[in-house]
This record gives sequence, C-alpha cells and structure tokens, in this order.
Amino acid sequence: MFDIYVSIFEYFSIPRVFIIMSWCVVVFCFCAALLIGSVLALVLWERKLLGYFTVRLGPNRVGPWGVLQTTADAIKLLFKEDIINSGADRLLFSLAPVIFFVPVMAVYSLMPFNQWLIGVESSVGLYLFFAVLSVSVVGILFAGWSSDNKYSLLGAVRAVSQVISYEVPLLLSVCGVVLLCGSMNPLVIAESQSGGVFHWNIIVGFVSCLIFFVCMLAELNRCPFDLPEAESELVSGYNTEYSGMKFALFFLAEYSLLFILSCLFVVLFLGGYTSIFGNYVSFWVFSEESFWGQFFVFFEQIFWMFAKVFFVIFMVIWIRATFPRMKMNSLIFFCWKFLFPISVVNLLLLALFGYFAG
Amino acid sequence: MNRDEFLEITDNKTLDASSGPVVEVDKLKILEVVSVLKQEGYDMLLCLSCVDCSDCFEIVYNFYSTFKKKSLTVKIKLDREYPEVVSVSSVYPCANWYEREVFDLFGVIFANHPDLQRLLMPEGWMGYPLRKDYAPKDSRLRWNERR
Amino acid sequence: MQIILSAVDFLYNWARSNSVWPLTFATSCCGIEMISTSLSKYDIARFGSEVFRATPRQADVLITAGTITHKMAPVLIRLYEQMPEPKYVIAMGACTIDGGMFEADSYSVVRGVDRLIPVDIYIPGCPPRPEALLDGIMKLQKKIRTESLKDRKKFMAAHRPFVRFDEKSELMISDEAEVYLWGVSDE
Repeated sequence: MFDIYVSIFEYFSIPRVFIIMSWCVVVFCFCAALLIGSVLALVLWERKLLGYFTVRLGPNRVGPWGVLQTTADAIKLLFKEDIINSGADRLLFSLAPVIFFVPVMAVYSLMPFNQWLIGVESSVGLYLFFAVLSVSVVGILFAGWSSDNKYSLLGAVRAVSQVISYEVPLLLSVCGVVLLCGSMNPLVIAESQSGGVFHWNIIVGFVSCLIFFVCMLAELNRCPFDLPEAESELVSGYNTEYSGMKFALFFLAEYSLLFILSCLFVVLFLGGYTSIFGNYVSFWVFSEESFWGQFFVFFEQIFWMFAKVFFVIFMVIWIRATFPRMKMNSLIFFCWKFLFPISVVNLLLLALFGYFAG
Repeated sequence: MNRDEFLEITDNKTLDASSGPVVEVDKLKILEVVSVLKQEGYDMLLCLSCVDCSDCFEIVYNFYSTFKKKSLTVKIKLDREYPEVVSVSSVYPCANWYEREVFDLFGVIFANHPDLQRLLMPEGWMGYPLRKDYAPKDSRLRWNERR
Repeated sequence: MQIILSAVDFLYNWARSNSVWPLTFATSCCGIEMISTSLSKYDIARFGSEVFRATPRQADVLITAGTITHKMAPVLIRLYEQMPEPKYVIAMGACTIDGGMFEADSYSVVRGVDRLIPVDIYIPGCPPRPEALLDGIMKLQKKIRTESLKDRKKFMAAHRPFVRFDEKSELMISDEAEVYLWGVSDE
C-alpha cells in the first residue's frame, strides 16, 4: 500500500517528508480502528463462547445477541473514579498500563492482513515484531511494583518470569519457520504458503506449531497458564489496585495481544491471507488479470485472514473453558525442561530437512 | 485413683450407645489421668468442651482409641467464681485450640497453656458470651442493639 | 445545556446499568445461592454481571451474601471504602437486612449491614432464590437508570460508612451516625 500512497503524492509533487509523516498517521488510525473493533468483538466472543461451553447463554440483553456489551463495559470503566494508593509511586503507577499497551498497538502495523495492507513492510519484520513486543513485560513489572501491595508484586514477578521464560521456545519455533521459508518478511512467509492447505507450514513444522501455540498461551497469561491473574491465589495479580480507565487499558491490551498473536500464528503456520483451496475464489470466478478479479481478491484475502484468525481464537477460548490452572513450579519446569529441549531439537531437524530437501 | 482402678472402670464397663463410659475425675488429678490415658492407647482427643451448670462449670473431654475402637468421656467440675484447671495441651497438642475456645467463650483459665488468647470473638471483646449470665454490657456495642 | 446533559445521562446510565460487576463477597449460605445464580440454570451473565471481580478496585456492586459478624465488620467496611465511585450495595438475605434468624439473641452478629454501610437494594429471603437475586439486580439496574451525572458529588459525600474502626479495630462512631441510629447524640 505504501508504494500506491507514494505514487499519489508524487503525482501531486508533494515533498517526500510529508509522505512519511502522514503515512504514520494513516497507519496509526487504521491500527487503532482495527484494535478497538477487534477487542470489542473479542471480549464479547469470549464471554458468549464460555457461556456456550458451560451450557448457558452469555450476555444477551444488551444489544441483539449482546453485541453492545463490551461498549457498555468500556463506557462504564471510563466513568469510574480513578484511585491511586497513598503509598504508590504515582508516576510508575500511571505509566505502567501505557507501557503495557503501546507495544501491543505498535505491532499491529507489522502484520499483513492482505497482500497490500501492511503498515510497515520490512525484511526483518518478524524480528522487529518480537523485539517491540518484549517491551510490554516491563509494564507488568511497573504495575506490580508501584502498587504498594505485596500480592501485586508477587503476581507481577510471577507474570514476568512466566513471560520471559516462554519467550525462548517461542522464538526457537519461529526460527524453524524462518528456516523453512527463508525470510523474516511476513509477506514472503505468507506468499510461500500459497497453493492450498498442503503447502502450509503446519504440515512440515507441526512441532513448531504446537510449541508456538503453547507458548502463545503462556505469553498472554491465559488458561492454563493464567496464574498471574488467578483469583483464588493472588486477588487479580498485578492489576489489583487499578480501577477505571487504567484497568481498561490492561484489559484492552490483553485482548489485543491475543488478536495480534493469533494473526502471527496464522501468518506463520496457517498460510496468512492465502486461501484454503489452491487459488482464490475470485480468480476462479473472474480471471486473474481482470479488474474485478483484483478488486474481489482484495476482500477475499481479508476474509481468509480473519476466518483463520477467528478459528485460532476459538481454539484458545476452547482451551480456556476446558483446562484447570497449572502451578507455578510445574509451569516453569514445563518450559525449561520440556519445551526448550524439544524446540532446540526441532530446530536442528528442520535445518537438516531444509538442507536435504532443497 | 490409681491406674488399675481406672482401667477396671474404663475397660469393663459396657459401652453406651455412642460415647462410651463417662467418668468423673477430680480437677487436680486431671493431668496424670490424661497421661495415663495416652499411654493406654486413647490416642485421640476428639473434643474438649464446657457446660455451664448454674453452680459450676463442667469441662468434658471426649477420648477415642483407634487401636481398641473404644470411646471414653471424662468430666471435671470447676468452681463458678474462679474457674481454673491445668492445660492438657502438653499431652494432646490438639487441645491447644479447644482450650482457647473454652477460654474465649466461658472464661476458664488453663494454666501452663502456651498461648491463651481469644479465638473466635474479636480481640478486645469484653465478657464471655456462652455463660448463662452473659449480657452485653459493652457501651461500644450500643450501635448494634435491637431496635 | 439540559438537552446535552440528558443525552449524556442516558448513555452514562445505560452503560453503567448494563455492566454491573459484583465483588465476590460470599460469607455464608447466601453465597452459595449467589454462586448458583452465576451458573447455567439462572445465568447472571445475561445481564453482563458474570465477571465477578476479586478485587474491590474493579467492582461496582458489593452483594453482601451472608451473615456479617463483629469480627468481619471492619473487613467489610475496608472493602467498601476501597471500591471506586459509583458504587452500590445489595443486601442479600435476611441476615444482612436486620440480622435475620440471629436478630433475637446473638452476641456476635451485626443486625443488618445497613448499620455499617449505606445499602441500595434489599433482597429478602433466607436464602433468597436465585431468581430473587436476579430480580434485585434488575431493580438495581432500574435505580441506576434514574441517576444523573450532576449527582456524582452528592454520592461521593453520601457513600461513607456509618461506623469507623481504627487501627486496633476499636469502634468509633460518628455523630451523624449516632443521631441516625438512636435519635439522640452522646451528651
């Protein structure tokens, strides 16, 4: 999309510096809209699904089928009184949700939702993704430390140790995919899986896929790894002392992180925006070179992307509804003594496979 | 009362419906009686409770032997004005909290108890609630009286 | 100005009434009924209240489900004070309305939680059925819809507990509460 944008500006001969500045604004607006929309849908989707898994209805009074529930939650949280403890470090307390939220929003610009809709296309896109996302861990630590509450601090320390431990097998499994596709650019990775289900990376990198999925759950602090926010143990963990809009930021950031990590999972393993069949339906109905073919494939790629993302999110919520919580020591044991060796061996095997299979 | 007399009472008596024979003991001898019971195989102190008869307090000990599958009840009578008795928590450690509860609700003082303080009522409560003549005379509680 | 405020009021009240988040405060038998209201037969999630927050900082309503004793009273007041405005209290069950079955002779039960904190909705029953709790929540939603944004300052002054406890849990009662409860003040 960026080159189309540049060409529009060059047609009107506007200096290049304005192109770059305004492109940032355009990407920001798009990412913000997508983030808010996705979180609204996701919170409701989770509550409805959890309800259906436990033989009850979720929220259904607020709008038709409860679609306005998250809006009501968000507006209510906006109007709540904002309390800061007397012993809390005011600057860090107010800064922590921001530090947690901003990297999550920033990586929305690195994801390809479409062959053309990618905010920032760079050949080290995947590397940049994980580098930026690791900053949000600091937000959790600030939140727990500045709350002047020993349970918050315990929850924050547990959350941080869990997140940074599970980043290692995550990155090793992503290395496997990079080996298979030969590039860190998400567009190239998605294009290399075009051609239907049997070209997807989930077939060859099945172990990588599983490890990535498990580590994704641990990164998000979701069941079965949600000890940092376990009610019976830690009274809501690092966000115990947050009320009102700051809590809404934590809430929002968690669900938007779920969405963007599912997008990454889809791009890496499920073929991104390419279709399940060999070629796109639009190209089968219209032809590849015609205008209508190109026009419809734009929307069809978005459709495939979101269908796969929502399938992955359905799996994540299904797992939440099913499994109990892991204890802290078995969590860390599982990461370092089980997932880490498996991911290293898997990387080795994928390298050998890549070498011999050409 | 020595050991043989005691054994004769406890082992030969026919069992009651549920709680075995009931033996009345002098309060000054309770510690040695309890030590003898522990050696004789009554390894569980099921309960230690108190009854407020209008002229005295009665402490009731319920023992159970898991080897012989027999129950036994021992009762002591205490003075109403100055209720004091030796603590048996050196022999049966679970008596610690039972005796704290009895102290809390009846005001019976247990000598040689490691940590005799209120268990159920809030600290700073005045009076012993389960006594028959208890009436809340604490003016700090006026806000909670019946309307 | 009034037209703008009434439109904002509508949105404000609609959002708050449809997203009432309770605090898990289940002391006694009524707590079991509250839990069963959140399960599949009498679903409380339909009203948007399924997220029972464990921390008072994120809760809207304090459903006192269960008997409150003298030992629990300072804890209840501390939790109530930690909740951010706008907050509500539902007194569930006979024990929290006026002591219930313990009203006659008990030495340890607080006779009605409205001697401690201001209550909005009373739900009678011992314990009230889950449908009664849902009815109470619907009445609370109706009550929320009658409020206005201008009244927030009044609420922040009115939502103070009636008795205060100092560090050692000694009771200290305020003069207004003395007049409210007894009609006379301490001479």
